Amino acid sequence: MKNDVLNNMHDKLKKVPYNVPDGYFEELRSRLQHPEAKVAGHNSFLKAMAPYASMAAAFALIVTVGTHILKSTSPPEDMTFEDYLVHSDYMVSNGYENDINVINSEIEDEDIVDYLIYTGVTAELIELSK
Amino acid sequence: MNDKQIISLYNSGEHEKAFNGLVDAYSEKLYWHIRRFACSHEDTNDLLQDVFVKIWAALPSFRGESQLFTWIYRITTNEVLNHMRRQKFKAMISLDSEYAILERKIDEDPYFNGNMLQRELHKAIQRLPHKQRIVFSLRYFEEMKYEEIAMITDTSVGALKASYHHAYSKIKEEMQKLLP
Repeated sequence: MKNDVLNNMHDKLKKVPYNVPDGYFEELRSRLQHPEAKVAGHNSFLKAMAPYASMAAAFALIVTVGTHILKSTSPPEDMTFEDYLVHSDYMVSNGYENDINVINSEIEDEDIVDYLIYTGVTAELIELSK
Repeated sequence: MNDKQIISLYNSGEHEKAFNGLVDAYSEKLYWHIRRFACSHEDTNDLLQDVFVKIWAALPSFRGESQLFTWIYRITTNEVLNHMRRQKFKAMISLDSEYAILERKIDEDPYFNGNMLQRELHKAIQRLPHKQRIVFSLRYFEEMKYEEIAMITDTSVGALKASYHHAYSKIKEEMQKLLP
């Protein structure tokens, strides 16, 4: 107990170290009895809710701005398929749109001839097309 | 007016007299109980008014299973805990520490009239977890029995004793550093 300041000085430390404004408790009684006392409680509620309201407003702003940005960068809903292709910069899908090498590779004339022969085009028609 | 008289007035329909009796009997006691946690007169005043509105609204549901005193302190303590949670949330939003805000309130309180040790004691209490602050305050300042604190906080006596022991040790250690 020698070094126990909380115990040794308990009588002094436990005293209330605060004042109140003059007449506070007398006015408190009349304030609480008056209907406006409920309004004071409501105002206190509003004060308590203020940070939550601010957060909700900030969240709503973020959602609104984000939605606007998404909409302005998305294709309009009534666009045609062709417009969509132009808008999206995609080529017609043939299953190879991710294969950059296939898309970007040059197709040789021989490849075209081979393909035409494969599909049944006669040699005479091929000669005529050259 | 004692608790029995207040309840009797309320039950006989004399609500205004019962409420006046409540305010007269409890306003100062509850003010000082709240004051140790709110750290400012303005916050204490707001909380106290909220507490009396809640007490009045809940009075019809008071069944007398506990003492009126215990019931009123339980409502008050719950309001104080809610206030502490709100303060912690406000501190998070403002990227400040809850303790730093409370320490500033104590330092800037124009109604503080204690000495340096008392100021440091009240600051040290604000560093405790919320429930430990309540337990320490009720036991050290208001010298309540553990059984009473158990009914107010809905905590077992054993848990309260452990909580108080931890709080007491922490605060004693901080206070010892201030002594020559």
